[in-house]
Order: sequence, then C-alpha cells, then structure tokens
Amino acid sequence: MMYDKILLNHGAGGLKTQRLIRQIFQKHIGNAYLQQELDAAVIKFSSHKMAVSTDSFVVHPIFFPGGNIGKMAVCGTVNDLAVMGAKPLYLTLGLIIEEGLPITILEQIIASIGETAREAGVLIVAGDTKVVEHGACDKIYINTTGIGAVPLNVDLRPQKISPGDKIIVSGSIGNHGMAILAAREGLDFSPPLESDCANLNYLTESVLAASVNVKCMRDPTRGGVATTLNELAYQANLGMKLWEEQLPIDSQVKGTSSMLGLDPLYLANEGKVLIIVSSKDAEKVLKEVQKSEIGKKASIIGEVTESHPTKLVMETELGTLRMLNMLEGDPLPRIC
Amino acid sequence: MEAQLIEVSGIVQGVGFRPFIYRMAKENNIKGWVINDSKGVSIHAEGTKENIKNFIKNIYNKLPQQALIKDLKYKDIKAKEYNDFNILASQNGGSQDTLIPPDLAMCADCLKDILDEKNSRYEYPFTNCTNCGPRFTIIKEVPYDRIKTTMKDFPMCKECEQEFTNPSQRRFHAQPNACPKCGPSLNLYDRNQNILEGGLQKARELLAQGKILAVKGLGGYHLVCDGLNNDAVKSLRNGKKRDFKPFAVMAKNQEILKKYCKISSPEEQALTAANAPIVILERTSEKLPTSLTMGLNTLGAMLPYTPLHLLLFKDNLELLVMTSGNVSSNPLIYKDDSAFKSLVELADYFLVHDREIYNRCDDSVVKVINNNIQIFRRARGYVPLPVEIPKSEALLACGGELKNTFCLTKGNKAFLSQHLGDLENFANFNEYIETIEKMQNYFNINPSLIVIDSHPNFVARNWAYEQNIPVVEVQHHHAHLASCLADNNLDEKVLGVVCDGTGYGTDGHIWGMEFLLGDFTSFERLAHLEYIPLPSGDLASKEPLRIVASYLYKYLGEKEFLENKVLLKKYSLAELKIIQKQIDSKINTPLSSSCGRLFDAVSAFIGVCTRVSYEGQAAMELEAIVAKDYRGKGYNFEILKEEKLIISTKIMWQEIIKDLSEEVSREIIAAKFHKTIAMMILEVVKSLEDKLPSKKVALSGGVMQNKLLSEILINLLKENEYEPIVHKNVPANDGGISLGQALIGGNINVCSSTIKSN
Ligand SMILES: [Fe+3]
Ligand SMILES: [Mg+2]
Ligand SMILES: [Zn+2]
Ligand SMILES: [Zn+2]
Repeated sequence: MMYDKILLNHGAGGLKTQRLIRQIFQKHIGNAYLQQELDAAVIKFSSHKMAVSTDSFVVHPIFFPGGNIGKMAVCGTVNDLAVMGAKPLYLTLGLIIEEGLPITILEQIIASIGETAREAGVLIVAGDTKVVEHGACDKIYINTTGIGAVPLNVDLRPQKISPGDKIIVSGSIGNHGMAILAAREGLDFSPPLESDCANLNYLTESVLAASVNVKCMRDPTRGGVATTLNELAYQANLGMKLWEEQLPIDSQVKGTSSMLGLDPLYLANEGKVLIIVSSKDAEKVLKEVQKSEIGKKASIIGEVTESHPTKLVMETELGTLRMLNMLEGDPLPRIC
Repeated sequence: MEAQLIEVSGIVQGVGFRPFIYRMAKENNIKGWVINDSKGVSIHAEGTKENIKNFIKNIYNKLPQQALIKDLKYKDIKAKEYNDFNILASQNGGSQDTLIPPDLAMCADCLKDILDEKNSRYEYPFTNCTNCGPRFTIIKEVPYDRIKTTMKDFPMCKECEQEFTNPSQRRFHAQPNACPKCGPSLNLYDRNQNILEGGLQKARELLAQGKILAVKGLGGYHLVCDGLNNDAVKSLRNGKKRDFKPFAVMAKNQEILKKYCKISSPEEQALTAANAPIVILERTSEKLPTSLTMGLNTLGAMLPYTPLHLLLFKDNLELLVMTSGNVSSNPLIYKDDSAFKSLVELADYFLVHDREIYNRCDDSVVKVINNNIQIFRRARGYVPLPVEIPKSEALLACGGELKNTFCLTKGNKAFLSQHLGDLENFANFNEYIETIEKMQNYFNINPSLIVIDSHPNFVARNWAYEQNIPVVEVQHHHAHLASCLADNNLDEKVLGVVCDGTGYGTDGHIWGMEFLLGDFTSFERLAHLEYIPLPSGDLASKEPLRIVASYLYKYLGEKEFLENKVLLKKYSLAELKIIQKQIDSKINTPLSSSCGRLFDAVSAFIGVCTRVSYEGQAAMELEAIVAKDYRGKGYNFEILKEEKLIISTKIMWQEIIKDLSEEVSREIIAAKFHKTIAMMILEVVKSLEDKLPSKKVALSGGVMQNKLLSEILINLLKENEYEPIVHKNVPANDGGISLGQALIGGNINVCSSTIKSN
C-alpha cells in the first residue's frame, strides 16, 4: 500500500524504497536503463567529446509559477550541458527528501522531472533516494548530474572571446528570480510573475548550427546576467559593455523589481542563455534564436571591448557608463 | 661679510617667490643667489649680519599673497664674495618635496593689463603672471617648469622671454607667461567644428541672444548661458538632463551679485580669494529665473577667475550660468575631442582655446557657516595643497564612493585629490585610477598601505586588493570623525557626532547618525538614531515617502500606516501592502540609522520634496523653507537607554502628524524639525557626559553642511560649554573621508593584525 507521507523508511533501501521506485519513479521516469535496476547504468558512448555537469537544487518554494524544483533540476543541468555545445543525453537523479513530505507532492515533482526530461530528450539513467529526519532539510533537495555529447569540432570557451564580439541574450531577464521572490514572500501580482524555467538545448543546437563563430555560451542563473558576464569578462580578460536600452526586461519584472529596488541584471534566470558571437554573425544568430518560442525576445545587448579588461559596464539611458560589479551579498545602499 | 644658506619649503614655486626674494635681496643689499630645487627654494645670502637679518625678516613680512612658508631653515656658510644677486636655473632630481601650486585667480595687475587698450595684453584671455594663472591644471611633471607644463607648446616671443628672464618684472619666471603673439589662442566653433568669425565678441553676442556655449576654461569645460534668460536656462537644464539641481552662476562683479544675494564679509573674502570658489550665498531677490534657482533660497555664485571669463562679461551680460560641462553624472569634460563629442547636443557653440588641460579640476564650492568658510567641494584653487598631519608613512586612502576624493600621505603631508565624483560612473572610476597614478608621480609616493571603506560593495575594493599592497578597511563614520580631527590638527580621543546619509556599519547595518568616541586608532559607538528598515535600499533615497512609510509603520502601527493620507496620495493600498510585506520579510530592506534619510522623510512627509533627483535635494529644500523667525520649541523625542543610547523619533512623528492635522504651516514644521535634531544631539551629548574625555565635540558628515542646523547646534553646544570642532579645509561630506581614512590607516598599521588580505 502507498503511504500518503514520506517516512524515514522510504529511504532505507528496503521494501518501502522499492515500492516508491516502482510505483512513482518507474512510472514517470522509467526507461530501459532504470528498469535493469543495476548498481550503475552502463551506457554506450559515441565518438564525441563527453560533457559532464552536476548541480544541486534547493529552492524555496518548491512549487512556483512557471515550474517547480523538479523541472528546475532537469533544466538546470540540461542547460549547463547545452551551453557547452553538448547534446544532453543522460541524467542521474539524487533526491534528499524530508520526512513527512506528502507523497502526492513527491509524485508531482517526479512527474515534472519525467516530462521535462522527455522534452529535453534526455534519459534518467541512475538515481538515489535518501530520506532525512523532519527539519534536517527543507522538503526536498535534488541533485542531477548530466552527461552530454559534444561534437568534436565544437569548442566553446571564454578564452575564444575577442574584442568586437556581440553579446546576445535569448530573452527577457530576471523572470525567474523575481517569480521565486514573489512566490516565496507571498507578493501578489496579477497576473502572477512566471519563472522562465525551460530547456535550452534545442535553441543552443540551432544556434551552433547557424554559426561556427559562436565563441561561448553561458546560462545566467544565480547572480543573473551581470554576475555571469563579470565572470566571462574576467576569464576572457576583456571588457564588456551593455546597452541599457537593448536589455529585454518584461514590464512586470521591470515594475516589480524597480518597486523593490532590485536590479533585474542581478536576478536569476533558469531558461536564458547568453551567447557571445563574432560581430559578423550576430544578426544571423539573433534571428535564429528568435525563431524559437523561448527566444522571441532575444536581443543583442552588448559587446566585448578591448578596453577596461575584466570589467563589465553599461551605457545607461542617460548616456553615462555604469559599472556593474560582482556583488558581495545583497545590494546595499550607497547613496549618502 | 657674513653668508647664510637659507632653505625655504612650502608653497614657494609658481607664486612669484624667487622674484620676490630677488627684490628683497636688492632692497637689503644682499648678494648671492636663489634657486628652485626639489625641496623648495634655496638662497645663498651674503651681506652684513644686520642686512641678512632684515632680509629674512622681510621674507616673512612681505611674503607674496599666494606663497606659504612651511619651513625656513638657515645656517652659516662660507662667504663666496659674490658681487651680485642672481636667480639660477632650476635643478632637477632629488626628492620631490616641493608643493605644486594650485590654480590662482587673475590678479589685480593682470586685470589692469587686459583692460588697458594700450597694453599689449589688452583683452588677451590668457594673461597671467607670477601671482596668478593656471598651475595644477597644466602641470604634467615636477618640478614646475614651463617645459613640464602644457605651455611647452607655446615658445615665448622675444618680449615674453624678456619678462620671463628679468627679475624685476612681474612675470619673471611666470611659467605660463604668454601674450597674443606667442601664447594660446581662442576660437569659436559651431557644432560642426567650423571656426566662426568674431571670436570672443561673437561669443558674447551669442550669449546675449540666449545661446548655450561650451566654454573651455581652466580645469574643464563649462556650459554657459545668460543666467537671466529663463528660456536659455531652461533649455540648458533639459539638455543636461538635470531636472531640479540648481545651477551655479558667475557674476560680472560683486556689485551685480549683491543685487541678488546677501554677501557677508567672510563670504566676500571667499569670493575674492585667489582660489575663487563657488560660494553658496543666500538669495535675496525673486528676480532670478525660476529655472535657475529651482526653489532654493540659495545661489551658488563665483566671480570671473580668468581673463577669459572676465571678457565674457564685457558687454551687457551680468550673470552667466556656469555649470560643469558634462552630462548627468559623467565627469567634467576637459579634453577637446570629448567636448565636441559629448556636448554637441547641449551646446550651440564652442569657445575653445588651444592650451591643453592636463588635470581636470572642477570648481570648488564653499559655504560660510557660523562665520567660517566650510568647503563642500575641494578642487580648483585648493588642490593639490596638502593638509598637515602627524607624521605618516606613505599610504593611499581610497575615499568614499560618492563625491570621491582620495588621499596620499607622505611625511607630515596629506595630499587630497581634487573632487572626482561618483565612482560607480565608469568614466569617473577610470579618471580616479589615472589620477591616483598622476598624483603618486607628482609627489613621488609609493604607498605601502591602501585604506578603503569597509562597504562590501565599495567600487574600488577589488582594485585595491589587486595592488599587492596590504589593504585595511575603515568604517565610514570613523573616517568622518578622524577627518574632522585631522582637519583641526587634533590627535586625541573625542566624541564625534557624525550625521550623514549612508555608511556601512560594523554590524552590517547602514549607519548615519552616529555618536562615536574615538581617535585615529579606534572608536566606540555610544549612541545612534534608532534603526528603521529602509524599503528598497537606495530607492528610498530617491522616493523618500518609502522612508516615511517605514517610520509610520514602525511607530504608529499597521492601521495608521495603511490609512495615512500622505502615503495614500502617492501609493495605492496594494502598493503600501507590498512595502509592508517588504519590511516584514526584509526584502531588500536594510536597517538604517541614517540622519540624511530622516531629513528626506520629514521633507517628503510635509510635502516639500517627494521625488529626489539629486543628492541632498529633499534636505536642502526643507532647509530652504524654514520659517526664519520661529523662536519656539522643537518636537519631543526619546533617548532609550539600552546598551547604547538609542534616539527614538516616535514622539516627533506623532507631533508632526498632529501639527499637520492642525494645519501648522510646513515652514514652522521644518523649523521645529531642525531644532529637534540639534536638541537631540545636545541631549545625547549631555547624556554621555561621564564617558567623555573632554568638552570637545567633533561635527562631521554631510548633514552638517546644513547651515541652519549647524548654526543652531554649534550655538547650543557652546551655550552648554561644549567645544564644537567643525571642518575647515576638507569637506564634512564624503569628499573629506579619504583624509580620515589615511590617518586611521597610518595608525592601525602599527598593529598589523587588523590588516586583511583578500
Ligand atoms: Fe558619509
Ligand atoms: Mg551547474
Ligand atoms: Zn597676474
Ligand atoms: Zn609673447
């Protein structure tokens, strides 16, 4: 029989664990590899380079407009593979569940994982479930490790970035961060702010097919576009300049973040990619991105500069250049 | 025959010091020589004992106005039996201890020259002499000699050369000496960089027609228009994207300025001094265009300080707007190419000379408070003169993020940079880094320590940690206190009352009304304004009703907060609930004890300023409306005796609400509020009595630039037998904290345990 809440025994490896796996996991994410129920999935690998990435997901709340922790756990790792030019193939799934989590909730999350994985075309080939005492974790934590195949001729690295390259973002920024904040704090906006949580792998695939002059891609998750570009500028030892008026920001995100005094450039995204591409292919890549449903609002937001290496600046609508530093913690007042 | 070697240091170069010595030598029958060297000036003086004595006495007594002797040493040497007195060519090398002179306003003699039709320099805009003219802004390297300035491009003509080499002439060794034949020249351009006929004459006509000119001056470009022409001022305001900030003006002369402003005698002194700053005066006339004064009862005004500026007024112009040539928060433009690029949409014409400006230098700003001149912005005319400090190792103090200056120390001198502005602006940041390098070269300083503000997001923080020099972090208000002490030559533990907008506190909260007992090594926080949440952080500074919301929510509770009419005029109930949520859930809502934000809140609450478009606007506008004749009491407040003393303004808010409901005028409310703050400070100081080592109370922080508050406070403290210590040579605002940082850094370094490495 099914219990309606997760008990410590569900993670003990016994009968209860087995039932959980068969009744919920196999149902939603089952495949030939998982059905073998072996200690490790043994997978065939082609003549590609292999991309591996891992990420742990601890989001509060676990359900939010536009997604949930399960969807995020798949998208997050799929996207990390995708921005490296990999075709994501396999995922592992590690769950740490708090004792007492309603099983229906777990099932919704697993179903979402299954759906998102199918959408991305990845198989979940291995998994693990642990249950911890009430209070030892917050409802559920998920780790996913992803394996993807990178064509031998694809080589995306910050070191390939050069002055003059353009910076493209695949859509409006800050949606995820603002949606999570609104959901967590119970800020009521109508319509509710939605996370942009989405798989990027088809989009990145088409980008790479459209241009061989894509230098580097990144998904601007935690810390947002500003933090990610700061990292890239540092790694490339080049400067970067954004144009404020080119930034795609949804009016609701703009309104909400300005009301809260937050900067969308520092808010997390879960379904956006930053593409650094040579200037001559920038328009072509932009058009390619815009063909995709999730790339409609893509925009060329800036360029790479020889001057001010390692620094990210933004040309504001007032015509000034503002420095966008990495923040240490939260933004704090500076106006004296 | 006796002989002495006299060594003089201080401001003794570029101020006509050697010709002065030459004259004194002749007058006293002294033979020998004088020479500029890297330490200052050395004099070999031979004569009778009596003559030498008189000679030295004369050096002190008849010293040229701009010169300053820091040290004069003499010793007996062997007489060489010279039969004349000579000025020798400068020596190079050695340690560079000479002070670089600041730019000096046109002197009376040069004024005569340019107004005299028979003089070869009649109407010549670049006339100068050893007593006046460009200095710091043209110096590329030391020692200060023409070839090391941007005047190198202008070889002197025969006549100028003659003046330059003749010790009896006023222009003897005047390094920027020039005349129409050989010196810099002026051109008028249209927007497309075509030269127009007519030069200065035409420029004046254009100004009179209401046109906007970009004029290249001493330390940068100004945007200039007729200050009495409302349309012209308005269009300049639109172009600058400067909605409310008042513009500074230049008046033809003092008489004309007196038509519009009250000028007290210390204000007159400030206006006519060689550093010729903008002086913030009390406006008495309603006749000035509203687009100029923007609701303030003050006017920032200066007098023409170069011949070029003076000549702009030659016809009928009386008052010119002279605002810095820049857009928004960008740095003052001082290079020709960027002027044409960036100002093309603002200026109709460009009046440009061909002498390169090497160092950007904004106009300085001062205000007379309690009969003392206080510097608000320290730049042209002051920089790079040092502030004397107790001996310090060589270090760099990075200053604050807004209104930035940095400070380099060496020996007993602290060299503050010119005002550099807001460092978050990348152009300013770049200039900041460049200027640090320039100043290090001028003064030959290799810092062994860098001091930064402890704010975790201080813009230059990363830069500082990348320099491979130990870095020490100093708390913002401690730096303010130390700055005030250093400014007053005090090296002792005193109580500092520091009132400003924002500084990162040691507890991670945002401080701003602080009672710190401290010296250059440490401080103890004894009292502060009660913390309130600051919803949306910096946004609250721009939209001060958010601060009001926070105060009302905290002190009056949910119901009164959500029903408050003032708040509901601006926010919907739903928006207020979001602010409430923000406060409850601490979403981007730091805690703050800021005094500046309290001023902002009161200003917004009584309807004076609800939208802040420039720093300090709400407080300045509040100060402007105060009922001057109010003699009554202030509001009540509480001092909570916790671990520290905490000032609660709960009762004050209740009383303001009561006043509003009884339709007490905002002029009276504003007056009562100012009084309250002064009383608050006094009461806290009194409550701290047994912890204080002396009666001295140092006052610092930007809020202390509020003339009204400062004057009430200073008098209250004096009446109660305290000794208020106020700023003199460096700003009370963040423009002064680099000096305090330097002093603290120099002392903290002794115990190296506090030095952090990243
Ligand atoms: Fe400050
Ligand atoms: Mg990852
Ligand atoms: Zn002169
Ligand atoms: Zn000449």
